[in-house]
Amino acid sequence: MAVLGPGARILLAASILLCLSARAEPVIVVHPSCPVTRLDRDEARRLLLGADLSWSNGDATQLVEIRGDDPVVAAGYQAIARKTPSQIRAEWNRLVFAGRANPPLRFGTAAEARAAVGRLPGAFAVIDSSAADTSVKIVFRAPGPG
Amino acid sequence: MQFRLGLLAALLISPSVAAMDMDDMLELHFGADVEAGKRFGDSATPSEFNLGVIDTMIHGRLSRAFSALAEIVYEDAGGGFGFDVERIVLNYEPRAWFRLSVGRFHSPLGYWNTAYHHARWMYVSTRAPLLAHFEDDQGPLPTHTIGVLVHGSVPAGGVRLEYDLAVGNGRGPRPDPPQQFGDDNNQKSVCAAVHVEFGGVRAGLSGLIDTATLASGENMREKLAVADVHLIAGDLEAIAEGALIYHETSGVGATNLGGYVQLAYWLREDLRIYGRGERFVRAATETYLDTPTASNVLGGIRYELVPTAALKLEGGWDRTAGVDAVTVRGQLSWLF
Repeated sequence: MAVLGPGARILLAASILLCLSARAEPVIVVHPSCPVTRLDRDEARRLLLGADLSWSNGDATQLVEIRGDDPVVAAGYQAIARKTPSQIRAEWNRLVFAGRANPPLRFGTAAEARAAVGRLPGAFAVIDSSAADTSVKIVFRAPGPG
Repeated sequence: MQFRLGLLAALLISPSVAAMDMDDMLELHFGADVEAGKRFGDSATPSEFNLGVIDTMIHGRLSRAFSALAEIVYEDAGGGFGFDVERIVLNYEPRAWFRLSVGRFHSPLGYWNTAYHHARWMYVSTRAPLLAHFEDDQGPLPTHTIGVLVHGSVPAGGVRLEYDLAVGNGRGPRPDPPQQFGDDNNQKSVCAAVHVEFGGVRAGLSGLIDTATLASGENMREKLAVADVHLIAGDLEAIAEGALIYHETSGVGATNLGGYVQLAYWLREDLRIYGRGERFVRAATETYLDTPTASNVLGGIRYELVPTAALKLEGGWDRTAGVDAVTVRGQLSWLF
């Protein structure tokens, strides 16, 4: 059985990552009851940065995140708000500290994040479009890292 | 009638009893700052390093609609560490347009006092303007209230309306210390605010009325009004606030006026320059406040070392109670 050297392993991992990220399409998903059907880029930015903290039906917005560094989420945050995940977290720290918002809910996988958005009125998340299903509504599509 | 009450109860209770994802029940935030600086002029001080505000904030999510927040600060208290419970509130927030907070909170007066709290990382400059100083730092406003706060925001087309209504204990015999636990008279303070946000501009008015019982046994009537504007236009952020603080004791009135304008401009994502001018005029007949007549201008630069830590370099001139001084200061502040 052939054993790959360290260089080959790195190349293989990079190739897999490139293939995955080339297909990735970050989207904003919301709870189905959300009155919004589509967000423009500025509305998406204001939502993600916590500038808008409520929907028109009176539900408070609730950011749902994937724990750790998810490349699709990072690409989505960059495309929507030109911010890194750390910068987005810092913005939400500010809002939470000011008592204006609840902290983001964090889950281990995109599927868990999607499931949480599907259960919580007012919730939204940035996930890969391939992780979205009928339990949530896609309201914004951002160009992916590919 | 019974049906209406039942409907109202269901509306208020249902979000709190729904099964929710409460994986992240508790969040702990920690902020602090370290400074180095020197004050020159008539009230010169030695050059010094000093610890600023050490701030801990605990946020607990009790259910979808209930949460609790506690902010505890350690800061200089005459050379030793002073310990203050700055905020401790239980929040019930079934809808964005109806939020109820009970406990000790920041009075909904103006912009600064509700946008920023004790961690200095939160504001662009090294210090708050005099108008927004806390009670233990010669601040002229009752920045904290123990009581009940109803607040919310209502989107209306492209405009967002925000309201706040608070009832609390109000002022004590002296501005500092503020009343920390109970109240020493039957009069409650009433504070209300209305703000409108449209296209990056948020503007509003807030006011407060209160009656404080002084150490002499006399009652002091307080009426105050604050107008504030916050603007974000591209890379520019502007904040302006003005306040009128009226006190009347034994038929003698005192009208104090204060205000500031602060501008900040993003040169890069991680680099801002800022400047601020401020004036506070203490009435000749004012006997209650510790706030002196003061003018100051300052300018500085803020660099984000990482998204949660900032380096600020600042210089300014001030005339406080007739004494001139120039201050240079550097500050490292963080919040995570």
